[in-house]
This record gives sequence, structure tokens and C-alpha cells, in this order.
Amino acid sequence: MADSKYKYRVEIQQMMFVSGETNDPPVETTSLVEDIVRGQVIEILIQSTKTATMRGTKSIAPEDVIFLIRNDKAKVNRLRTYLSWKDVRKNAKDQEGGGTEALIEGDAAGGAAGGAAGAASSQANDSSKMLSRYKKSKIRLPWEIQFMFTELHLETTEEAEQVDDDEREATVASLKRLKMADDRTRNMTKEEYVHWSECRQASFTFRKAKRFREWASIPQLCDSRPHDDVIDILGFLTFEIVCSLTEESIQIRNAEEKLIQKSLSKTGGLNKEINKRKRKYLFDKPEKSAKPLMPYHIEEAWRRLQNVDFKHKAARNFGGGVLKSRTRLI
Amino acid sequence: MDKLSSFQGNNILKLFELAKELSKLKFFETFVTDFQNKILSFILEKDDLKLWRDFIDGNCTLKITRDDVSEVNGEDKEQDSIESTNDNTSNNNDDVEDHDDEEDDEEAFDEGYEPLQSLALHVRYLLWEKAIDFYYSCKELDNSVNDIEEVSDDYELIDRIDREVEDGDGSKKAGENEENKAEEVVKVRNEEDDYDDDDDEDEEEKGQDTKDNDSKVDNMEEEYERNEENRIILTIPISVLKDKSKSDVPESTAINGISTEPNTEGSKDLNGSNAAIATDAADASASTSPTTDQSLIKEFNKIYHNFEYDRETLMKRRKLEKSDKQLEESSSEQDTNQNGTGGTGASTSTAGGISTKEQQQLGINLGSASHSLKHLLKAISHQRDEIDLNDFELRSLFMDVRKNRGKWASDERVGQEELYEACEKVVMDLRGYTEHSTPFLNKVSKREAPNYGLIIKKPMDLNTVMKKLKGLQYQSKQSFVDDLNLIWNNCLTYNADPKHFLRAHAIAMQKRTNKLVPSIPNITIRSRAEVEKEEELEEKNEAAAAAATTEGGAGKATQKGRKRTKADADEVENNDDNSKEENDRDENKIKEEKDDESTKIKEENGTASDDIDIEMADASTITNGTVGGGGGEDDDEEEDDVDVNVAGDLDEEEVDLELQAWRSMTAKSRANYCAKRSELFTDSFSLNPNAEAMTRESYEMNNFKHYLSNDQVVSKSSNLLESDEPYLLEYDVMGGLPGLVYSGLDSESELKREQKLVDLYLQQSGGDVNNIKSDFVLPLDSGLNKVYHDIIGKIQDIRKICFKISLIRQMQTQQFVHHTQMKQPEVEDIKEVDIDPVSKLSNHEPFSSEVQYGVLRRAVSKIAMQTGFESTEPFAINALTQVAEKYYGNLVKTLKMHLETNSTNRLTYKEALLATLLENGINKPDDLYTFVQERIVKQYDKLKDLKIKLSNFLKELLRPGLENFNEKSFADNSEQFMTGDFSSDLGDDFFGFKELGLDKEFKMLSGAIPIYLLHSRLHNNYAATGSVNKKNKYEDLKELKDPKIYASEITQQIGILRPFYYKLLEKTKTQYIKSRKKKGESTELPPDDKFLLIEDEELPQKQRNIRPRLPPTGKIVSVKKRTLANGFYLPDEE
Repeated sequence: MADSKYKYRVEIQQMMFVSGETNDPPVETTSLVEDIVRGQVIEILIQSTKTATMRGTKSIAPEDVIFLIRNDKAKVNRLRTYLSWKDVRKNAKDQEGGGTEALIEGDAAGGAAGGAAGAASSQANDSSKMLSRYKKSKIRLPWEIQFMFTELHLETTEEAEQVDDDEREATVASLKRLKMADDRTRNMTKEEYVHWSECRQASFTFRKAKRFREWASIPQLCDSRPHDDVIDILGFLTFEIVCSLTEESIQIRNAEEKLIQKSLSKTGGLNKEINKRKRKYLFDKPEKSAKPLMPYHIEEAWRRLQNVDFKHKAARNFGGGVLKSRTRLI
Repeated sequence: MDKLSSFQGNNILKLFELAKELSKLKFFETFVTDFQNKILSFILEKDDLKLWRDFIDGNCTLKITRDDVSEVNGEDKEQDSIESTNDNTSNNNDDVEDHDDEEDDEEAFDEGYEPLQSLALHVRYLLWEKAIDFYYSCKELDNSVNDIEEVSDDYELIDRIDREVEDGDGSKKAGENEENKAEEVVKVRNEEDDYDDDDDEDEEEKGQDTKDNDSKVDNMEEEYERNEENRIILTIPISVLKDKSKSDVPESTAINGISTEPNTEGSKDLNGSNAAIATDAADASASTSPTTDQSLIKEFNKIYHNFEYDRETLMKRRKLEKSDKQLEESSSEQDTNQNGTGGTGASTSTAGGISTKEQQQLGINLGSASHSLKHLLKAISHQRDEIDLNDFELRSLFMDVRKNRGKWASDERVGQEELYEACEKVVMDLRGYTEHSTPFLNKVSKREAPNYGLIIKKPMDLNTVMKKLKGLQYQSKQSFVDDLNLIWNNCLTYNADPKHFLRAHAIAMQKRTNKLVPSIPNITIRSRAEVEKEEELEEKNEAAAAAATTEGGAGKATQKGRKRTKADADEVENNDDNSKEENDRDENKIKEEKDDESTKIKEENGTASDDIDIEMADASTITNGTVGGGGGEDDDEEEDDVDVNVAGDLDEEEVDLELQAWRSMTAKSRANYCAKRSELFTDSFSLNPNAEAMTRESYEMNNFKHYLSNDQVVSKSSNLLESDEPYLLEYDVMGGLPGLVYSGLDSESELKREQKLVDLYLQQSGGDVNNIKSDFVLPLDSGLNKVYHDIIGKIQDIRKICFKISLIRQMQTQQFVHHTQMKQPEVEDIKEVDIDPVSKLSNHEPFSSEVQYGVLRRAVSKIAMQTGFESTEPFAINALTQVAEKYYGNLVKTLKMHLETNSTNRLTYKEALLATLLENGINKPDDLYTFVQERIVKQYDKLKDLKIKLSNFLKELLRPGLENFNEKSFADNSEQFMTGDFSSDLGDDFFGFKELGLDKEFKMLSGAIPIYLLHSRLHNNYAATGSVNKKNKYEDLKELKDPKIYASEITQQIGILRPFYYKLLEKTKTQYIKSRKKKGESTELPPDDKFLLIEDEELPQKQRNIRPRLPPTGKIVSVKKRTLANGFYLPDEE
């Protein structure tokens, strides 16, 4: 039964590895993560269906999904770049067949985006001439200011290449992410790094859209088949969800260990033992810090990420009554 | 306030000294009765501490040595005469009133223990309480002249007493010296005091009195005897007391002089005595002469009383009110009956219209005329304060005005009005005498006394009398008086036991009746016919009896007088007045019957004591007025005895005349006050929360004021004609509360003030209110407001450009553009308008919620505009405003909670502010800055950018329309010139060529371009560029030249295309012929191998078939907004 229910153990393990979990997490943990992710996906689908019906269409458009995460500008930006690169990749594939592989080799080192989007990056410099043609199909979001008016102006290429000020915030965030990835990969050997970058390509949807649809019970939830882009976006988002969950729970685990060590240092007896054991031997037990993430870590992380922040309940201050809130999208 | 310590302690010596001083200041005179004053001054004259001590402790009995009348100063002749009349009248036994007078005298000079005890109490009370008030009021009164001295005097007085006591009791001499000094001081004071508002005359008299007393006291032998109870027997010669009446009597005669004038005909002796009687009666009853009322009421504040009778009074008053109600009900029934018969009831029924309460309270009854006077009364009561007359004068004025309009007035029955008015007054008075009247109000019920009907054959009660009165059943005074006396006699008969409590009441009522009866004019009602007859008779018998004529003519001469001189008068009456005689006879008959009855009762019961026997006899004597003298005197004495008993029973109620008068006069108001007060409490003596609050009426405050200033101690009632009541300071809980100084604002004065302020403002601003800076107008040149404004302006600009673009689009795609489509939507410039210019005025509160709500609402709608809304529903903005309001409220509340917390872990102001922001969704203050920078300022930049881009786009769109713009262009569309239908109504530079810089580019002289010309050019151009665009789509095929097909080549094409080409050939042919015809050339077709097939594009417009098809839905959809997918992108430049 369990096998049939949880289908993404490997992917999740990979994603967790990418976001810093070095050990192999137990099955319970990955199952829990999978459950959470599926819940999130379902929530996203339900909410975006709602906005889609509000627009008057039955099928979910990419904008509907992006609308749900619109407040996380960094994420939106990453998503946008991801989508535009996806376009590029598709076109390139059409044009040159195996072009993608070349691009993938470029890796994430200098790329402007994380996740799968990082696949195509600095190599763009070389093939900029070729790629620039496709780059202009930039994702525009309907709540941008230019759509406020009835008429649109012609967009020139220079405009499209202008770095939006909007993205500054996002670039800061993405720089942070890059730095984190850099830290993680700093001590890796070449092989390790290859493994790590392979893991980065893990996706819930990539080349297994059908499985994903079934898994997230999309046919039951949506009237019509969502756009392929939507599935891609969901894939991107699931990756993000797993990453942030893992990062949060790693923080929790670290804090927990700090606490344990504090209490240990208070009781002197154990302290000496620890000091004695400073030297490592070949057949020593693995260090305590190498403890894998347990389900309770994930649960705590989930709880923290679901915390309703002040911004969302400020209007209810002094109003009394129970604050009802939906599950938050991570 | 240690000066007052002598009042606090019970130091008898000090008090004695104080009393002496005060008596010299004539302090007591104002507060005690004259009789008491005499005794007091007598005691003080003795200057004996021992006597004083005993007196104050209530250990004295009073014994009055009865001096002979001859001992009284012979100087005073009037006194003499009164004495003599007293003697005479006492001999003359048939006079009831004289007997009363005697009794009153007796009462006034009551001997024994009680009067002195009460006096002692009174004096104590005065010393402790009133003395301070007295000082105070003295000070107040003399303020105008030399207040400081007076005050110091007062203190000196107290100081002196203290000193005296300190000096020791022994040094009497010193004390005497002191006293002398004091006396001197006092004398000086007396002279000063002369201008006091006290009766100067009176004071002087008193002064003489005291001097007289001095001389007399000197002559007196001073002996103190002790009786068996070890009480000092204070023996006071009657002469001391008598000279009070000396001074009193002339006054009273003076008062009554007017009223007695009409009676001067009768024997002088009798009149004199009547006058005396009248004054005495007035003292107690307050019914006869209102002037005495007033003076009496003025003395009321001197009366020492306590509250112990209040409860009783209240109960009795309630009973009276109850019976009043019953009476009213029955009388109304009667009225309806009378109305039904249509008889004389008209007058009574109108009277019944007035509530009984009013009847009771009105000194006069307005009766049927009240309607006509209503407005006058209203007007008077409105301006009551401006009228100099006091209430009594006013009332008598009214009385004069409508003398003959009383409810009893009747043309048919002569004398009815006078008689009934008087009678009614008497009954009302008796009913109002609640202390004693309550048992007699209603019929004795069987439940109360089962055997009553056996003993009393003819029961009577006050309500029945009233009913009879209303039913006009009395024909004369006598029958009325008989009924009254019947009540008391019934009581006395039934309650034979001399100690029965009801007897006392009955006797009191009897006395009162006797006092009141003389005020009723002795009239027998006769019909007009009779009177006229009589007059004729009189004329005939002129010679027969002069006296009789005068009496009969006047018609108002006292019957009493006639009766007294019965021996002569009877005969005359018999001769003249047959009807009267008959009446008398009738009455006599009734009385005889009654007598018979009473004797029968006596026989039957056999229990009645001799006393009652005599009482009965007495009663009959009074009514008949024919009993011999000696017996009458005996009766009087008997009755006195009973009285004394009763007095003992009733707790010395009869002791103090003034007190009694006070009690009876204030009964009603006291009852009212008590009733009001008792309503505040529940039965279990806890506060009643549902009770109505006591409220103070404005006139009640006036009462208090008048009381303070001492000029009017009568409370003015709200109703003008209601009888006045003495003002009771100690009962009036609210009276002393001062009113508010602030009179409040009425809307009129507020308006005026506002108008003034507005004028001032207009002056300052030079006529334009907007010149004055308002708090609600934010500056446009700095701050966020500027940014918002700029943004909104930019948005509006962009909208304008968008409109132009869309118009051009329509021109391109549609052949005809209606001129309404060209109308630019009006966009108003945003101005900062003062939300509430009025709130600049200082009398307006700028922080009132409405104004502030308006300001916030404006701010919210500004934000809504900034976010891109062209217009909003007012509801939506209101809802948003309320949300904002709540949010700001939450901010403040959170901050308040942080600052006012009881927690020991108090936050500093900064921390509290940060915490507040955090809790309300702002993680750090920087967020606000970033918001402004990232969202608002950036939005502005973006908009600016967008505007430039859009206007460039517009330029691009316009350019083809303006290219090669020259005179020739006009030829194309000469139609428009023919009709003159090219518009200039769009304004000179509708598309803003100048603004876009196109005018220079194309070297246009004026911006004005005929819009239709532009339209056609744009349209044609679009068609051309449209194909270019289409071509662009097939980029790869650009190089390819599609080969032309000649008509001969059709057969070479593949089979499937052949029909198409043939069709096309046909088309080409017709087209060719047409064009040839136009040119006027031959219509011959070229040979097939040279005949080119026409291209689609070369076909005339109609055949091109570019019209949009009707969609399958059947709906014609308006031009869709371009979505991003088919937006305009510049073609690649390669």
C-alpha cells in the first residue's frame, strides 16, 4: 500500500540533499514530506481554480498560479526566469535538437536562477546571439502596471532587456540562495558535486507529468486539463516547498542539538566523556550531528511555516473571535 | 470655630449669659410667641441662675396669679372694653364664639408644667440652632451699612461670654459691670438695628413693653415655691402677660376694621367682640382673613417643631384625598344626572369640569368663567415676577372681577352664591383639617360599627355635606351648620366613653366649626319672586319697622344679631318675613325632633353619662340658640373639662396655638413632601431604584431665595390661583441647591456667533475662504501627497493617450467613425478640496468624527485612484474607509495597551511603538520606507516611462496619416469638403501633435487637421500596412515572387484548382471591362495568353470580403481589447 501511495521518495531524497540534508532521511520523513507537498499542491490547485473561475475561464492559466505566490517576489521572479528559460529550451530543442544538453552542462554556477532553471545559465554569453531571439518572450503578469490601461505600447527589444527594478529584491534573494548552494558545494569533490547537480534536476513533474497528475489527483480537482505550463510551475513549486521544508527542519534540528549540548555541558560527567572521545576512530559511530531529519522535525517546520504572521491577522485585532485561516502556501 | 464652643457644650451658665444677651437683642421676640416671650423675659429679668437652670432642665411649673381685671392698666381703654365684653359675653351664654374666646385665653395662659417644659425645649433649640442663624442673618442684613463692626460685635458677644465664665461665677460684680457694658453695646446696636426689616413699630412697642415689664417686675415679689415634685413653681402675675394683648388688640381691630364696617349697624359691643373673635379664630384657622394668614406664615420660621407628626399627617392626607376622589366620582354622577334633566345643573357641571384638586386649592373658584379667563391667567402666570401684587392681592382682584360668576351663581336663587361659597370654604377647611377630620370624612360603615345604625338615627359626614352642598340642598346657613354639628354630635353620642379618642377629634372639629361658622353670611336663599314680593311688602310697611327694613334690604345682615335680640326681632320678623319665619319653624321642628331622638337614645341606652347628656343639651343649645344663660355657662365649663382631658390624650396638641396653626396650615405641603420622600423608599426601608427622581422646579428655587431674603415665606405655586403654602425649608430637600450659572446656549445665539465668526473669516481672507489654510488641505508641493498626486495625474494623462490610440485603431479598422466616439472622456484634475471649510471656525470641532471620517475617506479614495481605479462605488470606498478606520483604531489601541499595561516589564516608548507596528503587520519601520520607495515612487517612474512609450506609440500611429500631407490630399475626400462635415469640434490639437513634436516634423502650420481626412488616410494606410504585416509573417517566403497566371495557363494548373481560376477569370474580365469603360477605351479583352488574372488584392473593396463574419454564438462582440498575445510588437529589424 505504502508503495503505491508514496511515489516520490527518491525525488524527495534528492531535493533534500540539495537543500542541505546530507544523510539519507528515513522513509517516514520522506513520506511525511510527500504528504505535505501533495496537500500544498492540492491547495494550490483549488485556489487557482477559484481565481480562474473568477476570471471566467475553466482551465487554470499560469497567471492564476503565479497570483497565489505573488507576494513572494523572489519566488515569482525565479518562476518567471524559469518559465522563460523553459521557452528558450523548448525552442532551442526545436532548432538544434540536442542543444539542451549543451546548456545543461553550463550548470548553475553563474545562472541567474536556482532550481531547474539554473540549467541554462552563463553559457548564454557564448550563444547569446542565438538565444537573444527567444529571450524576449518574457513572462508578463497581468497585474503589472502597464496592463492597467486599455492600450499597450509596442515593446522594443531594449525595453525587454532592461533589468526591472522590481527584480532587485529578487536578485538579492537569489544571490543568497546561490551563496547557500556555494557553501554546500564548497567542500565537495568533483564526483560529489556532479551527484549534487544531478540531484538538482530532480522534479516531481519532469518527464512524469502523468504520474504527477494522478498523484495530485488533478483530473478530480480540475474541470479541464491544466496548461502544461501550469504543471511545470507546479513542479517548480514542489521543489521549492521541499527545499524550504528541509531548510526549516534542518534549522530546527540544529537548534535542538545546541540545546542538548547545552544540557549536556551542564551535567559534568558526560562532558568528560565527550572530551575523551575527541579522537575519532574508524569504527566510531557516526557523529550525533549527522542524525537524519526525523518526521517530528518536519512537523515542527511545517508548524512554523504555517504560522500566521501579524500582517494577515492585523485587521482582526481587537475583533475577537477565532481567526480562521487557510493553509499557507510555502 | 471654637467661638461656638459654648453652643456645643452644655454649659448652662454660658447659655444663660447668651440668652440674656440675646433677649436684649430682641432675639427671642422673633422666634417665640408673645406669651412665651413674656415668660422668658420674666425669667431672664429675675437674673437667677438657679431658676434658669431649672427652667432649662424643664423643672418648672407655671402658675399664673390671676389678677383682677381692674389691676390691668386703666390707660388702655380698648383692653378694658374687651375684658368687659368678655365678661358680658360670658354672661351671655348663647354666644358660642365668645365662649371659645374665653377658652382660647385660658389656653394661651395655660398653667402648669407642660407649657414651660415646651418653652424650655424651644429655648434650647433656639439657643443651639437659631442663634447662629440669627447672627448670620444679622450680618447679612447689615451688610449694606457697616458689616465689619457687626461681625466683630457678634464675635465679641460670644467672646465676652467666654471671658465671663472664665472670670468665675463668684465675681458677680464684674459680671454685672460686664453686663452693663453689654447693655450699652446692645443699646447702641438697637439703634442701629432700627433699620432692620423687622417691624419697626413692633419693636418700639416691645421696647416699651420691656420697659413696662421692668417697672412691673420691680414691684413684683419674687418667691420661688417648690411643689411636691421638687419643681420650681414659677409664679407670674397675669398682668405681665396681659400687656401683650394690650399691644395686640389694637392691631387686630385695625385689621378687622374694614371687614367689620358693614356690620357697624349692630350693637357696638357685639361688633367689638366679633372683631376680637375674628382675630383669635384667624390665629388658628387661617380661613377668615388672609392678611393674618400672611403675617402668621411669616412667623412660621420661628416655630419650633419636629417631624414626629409627619407620618400621621401623611396618612390622614391620603385618606382625605381618597375621599375627595369618591366625592368627585359621586358628584360627577350627579352632574350627569342634572345634565340629563337639563335643570340648573349647568353651572354645577361646569364646575365639576374643574378637577376637585383645583377646587380644593383655589381660593376662589372660577367656575364657568374659567374658560374666558384662561388666557389672562396664562399670561399672568408667565410674567408673574413682573407683577408687583402678591398672590393674595391678585386673587382678590380676580375675585372682584368675577364676583358674580361663581359656580354657585344663580339668578333665580337670591343669595345662593354668597352662602354656598362661604359654606364650601368651611367644608373644605374642615376637610383639610386633617389632624382631626379624617374620621368624619366618610359615612360610618357597618363593618366599623355594627350597631351604629341603632344608636345614630341620622348619620352625617363631611362628604355627605359636600354632596348636599353640590346638590343645592341647603336653603340657609342654619341648615348647613346643623348638618355639620350633627356630625360631631353623632360622634359624641355614639362614643359615650369620655376617654374615647374620637371624642377628642369630634370636639376639636366642633371647635373649629364654631370658629368658622361666623364667616358664613347669614343668608336664606329665596327665589327672586319672593324677594320682589318682599320688597313690595317693605314699601308698604315702611313705617312698621325701620330696623327690619334695613336688615331685610341689605339681605346680608347677620342672622346672629337678630337672634341675639330675639325678643324684639322675632316679632318684627314675624311681621315682615313670613317665609323666614316658616323656615325657622321648620328648623325648629327638626331640632325638636332631633332632641327627641337624642333623649330617646339616652333612654334606650342608658349608658350615656351625664356629660353626654349635657353635651347633647349643649349641642341643641348651640343649634337652637334658645337655651337659657346659666345652663350654657355650665355647659361651657363642662366642655372645657373634656377639652383638658382630650388635650392630655392628644399629647398636648392644644398647647401651642401657633404650633397648631402651623400644623394645620402646613399639613398639605408636609404631606406632599413626605409622600414624595416616601416614594423613594420601598416597604423594607431600602432605596427604591425605580422611583422617580426628585426634581427641582424653577419656582421652587425662587421660594428658597425668597425665604433667604426673608421677604416672602410663602411658596408660590406653579398654578397662579392655587393657594399659597408656607414654605418649609426643612422639608424641601432640593430647594437649597443652587442653579447653574451657565444659562446654556440656544440655537439662535449660536447661529449669531457663527455668523460673526464667518464674517470675520471672510474679512481676513478677503472674501475667499480658500485663502485660509486648512488642516484638511494637504500641501501639494511636498511629501507623499505630492507623489500620489503626480501618480494620479500621470495615470490620467496615460488614459488620455490610450483613448487617442484606441480612436486611431477604430479609424484604421472601421470606415466610419461616429463623432460621439471621438468625444474624449472628461477627466477632472484632482484638486485638494477642503473637506469641511466650516471647521476652520473656532466654534467647530475639527476632530469631530464626521469631519475626520470625511478626511480619511478622501485619503482612501486617493489611494484607490492611485492603484488605478477610474471610479469606485461609494459603498466600496465607505467600506474601505471603515476598514482603515478600524486599522488605525487598532494601532492606537495596541499602543495604549502597551503603555498602560500593569506588567512590570514595561516597554519604553520606542519599544512600545515598535511592538505596536509589529503586531499590526509592519515588521519594522523600514518596511514603510521600502513601501514608499519601492511601490509608490517606483510606480511613478514606471508611469512616466509608460507615458513616454505610449506617446511614442501614438506618434508612430499618427505618422502615416500625416505623411505627404499637402494640398493634394484634400482631393481624395472632397466629399467632406462638400458637406463641410470635417470636424473642428474636437478642438484644435486633438491628438496633441504639438505635444508629440509632430508639427515640427511635418512642418505643419497649424495643428488643425480635418479629422475625416486623417481618418481616411489612416484607414487606407492601415490597410496597406496590414498587408505588409501579413507579409511579415511569412518571412521565409519573402523572396518568393508569386508568378502571374495568364488566362491561357489555367488549363495547365492541377485539376482541383481549375474551377477557382475560371471563376477568377470571370471576375477579372468584368473588372477589366469596367475599368476600360471608365477610361472610355474599347472594352475588348486582350487575348488569353496576355490576359493576366487579377490578384485578390487588386479587386475593389467590396469584393474583397474583409467583413468580419458573425460568430457562431450569434452575438456581435465589440472590438476586443488586445491581449498580450496579439499586442503590437515592432517587427524585427534585421
